[in-house]
Amino acid sequence: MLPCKEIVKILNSEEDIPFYRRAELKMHLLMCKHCSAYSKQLGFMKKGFKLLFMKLTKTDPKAVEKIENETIEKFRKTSSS
Amino acid sequence: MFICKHIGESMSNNINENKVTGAEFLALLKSRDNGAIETVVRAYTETLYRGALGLGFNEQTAEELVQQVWNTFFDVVPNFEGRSHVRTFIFGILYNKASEMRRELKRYETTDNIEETMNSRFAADGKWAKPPIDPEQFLLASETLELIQNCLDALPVTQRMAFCLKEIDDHGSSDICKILGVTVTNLGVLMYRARNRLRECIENKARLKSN
Repeated sequence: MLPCKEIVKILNSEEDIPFYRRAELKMHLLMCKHCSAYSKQLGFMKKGFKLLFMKLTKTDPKAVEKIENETIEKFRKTSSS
Repeated sequence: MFICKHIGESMSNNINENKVTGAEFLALLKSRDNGAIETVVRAYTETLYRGALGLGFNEQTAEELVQQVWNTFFDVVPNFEGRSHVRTFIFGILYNKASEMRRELKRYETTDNIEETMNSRFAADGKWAKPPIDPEQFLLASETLELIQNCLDALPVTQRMAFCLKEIDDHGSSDICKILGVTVTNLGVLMYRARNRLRECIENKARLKSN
């Protein structure tokens, strides 16, 4: 049986969890309320970050177009001179 | 130099993507052809701008940042060898400029105090010594976007950039590694640290709130 500290590492892993670990992870989360709380926290955090990111990065197409136009115009000016 | 059409991740379906790959286009771009430059500017300004906003810059600063990225891009594009996707290259510049703007060194640290904090939460046998707080309490805190934002603002620029690149959906892990200049292993550690820093921060605020 893996200790909680290792379970936390697996929950944070960027790679796919190997199949022989998946059952163990599931069992551990069912039995251990602390790791299960931790795992839920990660999920809530991810959702919260997604919402915030969406809110922060709402862009006005007009503002984007303005930046594009200015950038292109500036480039033309400097490259032709 | 030839351009790798398929670097690591599958390309997005965006039509603009198809326009900006290929040896012919690369040659035009390197010669600073007006049309090629315009295509790239139209293809990536929005994502760059969104990236800058996601990093926590206000609209005005984000706009300034995007313009700085393009100025640098125009200067260095003749030396662009096409070994990575042009999008990856442009985001690498954004990362450099963003850390300059924040006056923060962009780097991958070998040590980080979050590792100690995490270690201190476990006993010698690997069981929780300081267990996480109740998920409901954590949820209330993480639903407050302002609170998450404060915690995010406290993250080092490299860690926040990694978070943002994950959200901007056309970046796969290999692209993110190239942009941040880290190995895949480093990226794993970086994400572990970023996530747990954010988590500790939210947890601390949640504790304060409930007291």
